[in-house]
Amino acid sequence: MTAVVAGPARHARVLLEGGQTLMEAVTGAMAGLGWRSATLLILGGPMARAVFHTSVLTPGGPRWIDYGPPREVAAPAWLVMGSATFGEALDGGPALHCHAVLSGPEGVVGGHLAPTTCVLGPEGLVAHATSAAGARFRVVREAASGFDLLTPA
Amino acid sequence: MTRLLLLRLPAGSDLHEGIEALAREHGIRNGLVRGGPGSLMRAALQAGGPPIEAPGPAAEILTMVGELCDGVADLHGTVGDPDGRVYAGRFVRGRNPVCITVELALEALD
Repeated sequence: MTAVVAGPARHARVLLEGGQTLMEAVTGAMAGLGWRSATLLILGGPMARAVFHTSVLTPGGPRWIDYGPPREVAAPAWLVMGSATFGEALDGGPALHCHAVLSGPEGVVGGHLAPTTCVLGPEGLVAHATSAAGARFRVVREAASGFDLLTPA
Repeated sequence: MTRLLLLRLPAGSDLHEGIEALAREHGIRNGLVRGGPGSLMRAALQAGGPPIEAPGPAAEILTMVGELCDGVADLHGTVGDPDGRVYAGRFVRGRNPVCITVELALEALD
């Protein structure tokens, strides 16, 4: 288990800009705050495109479990509520891990959002971000699972 | 000013006990749990009736908030199963083993 004590907690309410991909919107909001990492609670709102994955077993594959094929929520899609970790990728760029409850004409579903495929509705989404100076989430390649995982650093 | 602890629980750890152990290690008895995403081998949640189990191989934690009170975690949220079905309620202690990872922040209130 990993835990890193950061400095005093800081909180911000941010608008994730509409019309952008989820990745662009979160990265832009964090850049506006000057934060390299945060834990986010995303409040509900419309999505122009909502694509998610769930898990599937992958026997014989490089890892025992993986993301299944993308599933798209038909329009009008709505993000009910989501959680996300924003941090630093292996190459030093931004990394985003986001799960959410989604709603559409076929009902309520949920899973791992595809951050560069999901597009926010025109009015954007409100998120509450928590962070602290002195520590951040950074991607680490975990040999045991074969996944690149956001880990406190 | 409150201090923040960033946490990651690895595969095989117990959701409640993992948070409590890391909090203990850092001298935190009371705090707010601000969940990021994560996955469980299977999930058990309760909302008034008997526990409802979300099957794996990975039940995704979609949202999670909670508290640490006198060193004991109380966690609430939503989970998605491999078919995308959503379950909601209070995470049942001892019945939510971590699948790959759980990322979260604990804001100390001590």
